[in-house]
Amino acid sequence: MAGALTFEALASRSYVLSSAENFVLYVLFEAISGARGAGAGGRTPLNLGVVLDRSGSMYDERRLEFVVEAVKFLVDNLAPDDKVTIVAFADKAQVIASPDTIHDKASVKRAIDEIDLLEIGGGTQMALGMRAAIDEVKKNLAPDRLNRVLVLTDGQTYEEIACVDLVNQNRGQMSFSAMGVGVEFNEKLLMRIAQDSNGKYHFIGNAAEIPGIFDDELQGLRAITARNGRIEVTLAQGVQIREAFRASPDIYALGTPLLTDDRKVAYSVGDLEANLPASVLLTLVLPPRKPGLVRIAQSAFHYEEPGAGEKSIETEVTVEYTLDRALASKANGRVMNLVDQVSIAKLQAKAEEELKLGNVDRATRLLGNAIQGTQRLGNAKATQALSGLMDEIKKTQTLQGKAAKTTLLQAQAVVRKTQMLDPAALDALRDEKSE
Amino acid sequence: MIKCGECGYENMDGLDYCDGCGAKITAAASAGDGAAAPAAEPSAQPAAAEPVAASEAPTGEIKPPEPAPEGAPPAPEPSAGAPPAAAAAASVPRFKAKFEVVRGGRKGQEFPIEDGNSFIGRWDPETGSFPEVDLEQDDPEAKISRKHALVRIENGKITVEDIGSLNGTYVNRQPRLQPGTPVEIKSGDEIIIGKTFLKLVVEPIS
Repeated sequence: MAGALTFEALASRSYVLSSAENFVLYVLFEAISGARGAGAGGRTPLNLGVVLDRSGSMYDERRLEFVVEAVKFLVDNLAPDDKVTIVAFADKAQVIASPDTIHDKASVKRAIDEIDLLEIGGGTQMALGMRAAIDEVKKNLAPDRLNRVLVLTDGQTYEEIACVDLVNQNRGQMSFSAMGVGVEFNEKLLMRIAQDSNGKYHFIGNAAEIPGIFDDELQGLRAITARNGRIEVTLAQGVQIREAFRASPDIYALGTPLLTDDRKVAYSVGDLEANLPASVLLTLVLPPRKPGLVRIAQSAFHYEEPGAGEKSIETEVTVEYTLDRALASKANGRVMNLVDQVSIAKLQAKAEEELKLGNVDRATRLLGNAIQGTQRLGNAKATQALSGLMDEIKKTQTLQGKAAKTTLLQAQAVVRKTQMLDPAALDALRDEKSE
Repeated sequence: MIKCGECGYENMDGLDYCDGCGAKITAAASAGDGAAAPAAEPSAQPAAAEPVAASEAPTGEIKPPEPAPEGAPPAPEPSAGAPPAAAAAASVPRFKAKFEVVRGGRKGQEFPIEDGNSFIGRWDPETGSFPEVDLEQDDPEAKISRKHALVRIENGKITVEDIGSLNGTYVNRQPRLQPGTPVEIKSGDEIIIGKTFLKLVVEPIS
């Protein structure tokens, strides 16, 4: 079954208590694209724009050197039919290599080596760089190419709104991955750029990681086996959405949609890498009912399979209202695992908000609860990141200063990356457990 | 409702993490207060008890809810969808209370009020908080604050308190309530919130 795509809608409970109150039920909508079939042809060609910050601060900590190394790595790993544009920006933007010249590896490497000689000033006009790359990517749009813009920056750009506008205008045609180096960049802007367009956000605390992140991006693009995924959910009457979160591969809020008369909501999840779940977690509020089986939602996943056109898979979510408390206390371990992960990301974000308001006690309490969560999940990396953050808060009370900000950005990035369970653990969770 | 063991915040059933402090809500906390009372008086109740617009929603159903045993115990108030038998809670309330929209909104819409704290307001998409009496759909002009008023049932008394709303809370067309000062209300009292008129209906539990 190589290449098969699965789509499931799983409720946190199959049995719910028939009581007198509204209650909460979590539902996970998850698509997983299979690996490419052996006979399904080679890789999908890329149509890539790379936008590089060459502001004054990029000379710090050898950032520019690592960027040069990363670009050389990229150039060495291109396929003959890949289209790539490389743009450097500061006060102005300049195209270093275009799809016409990119395969002349020697001259591209020479050009990137001289990135520090470009006469483009020392400021941070990211929108100019993005626009130049978008223009080139647009020239090579094709249904059988993967279109993405990579943006790397280490500073606050002057025109944030212009950047967001550019993403919104073009996200139907390309995704944007954003890489923030150091602590001076605006992480909210970069996350938004990535989330709005179904690209990726990377926090790069140490410039030496830059080539590795380029490698990740390239491997991710090569692994895509389904395109333009969209989860559609139609809710039964009386069912409301309390919250919506992207739950994998990254965790972030999707905003709470206002239900229209057709009671339908749709979430774009972008391109799917093989075997990497793409999921949305809805927190639903269900009305009380008498015992009996009820369909609470219908759902469809629409996507494009390269070479096979548009496809869709439908499924539905049913729950049984019961008076049996024991039955109603059984929860689906896999869904609850993601509920936990989403809750931890929320707690971290809330703690950050409280800290901004000067409520140090409340912030540390929320973080403490988040840490208990990561410990329960056995997520050592997140526990470490959050504990480090807790220490910094206790020390600085405000998270001012470079070390503190690095810790914060690190913690944000770690708790927002969905921790994928290994297959054995997944199997164990597949069976419903009693809480 | 499940009371958070850490901070006491009352959370909606089924929630995994406390909305107040983010503590994990443990099964023990939820079983604690509800264990004694079987929820929702079983099948003998007339079907009128479906409180949340469920009757307009046959689309979602695979099996219809079991039909009302017609001619079974005559409902005391056949027309008004009686609020669901105030379920659970170890401290059995001696009455059940509800608000009914009488003007300026979905006339006839009912909101059962449980023991403890209930908020009147509008759903807040920013924080995801849901007031128990959610007048979002009754208030197209957004005259009602997201957290507008607090209703509390405690020791057999029902009080309403304005919690700093923009446009005020009024009881029986008297002067605007002083924010932060609870006022006792009784069955039949009229509460004005924004442009929505609510009537408090209290019925003894037989």
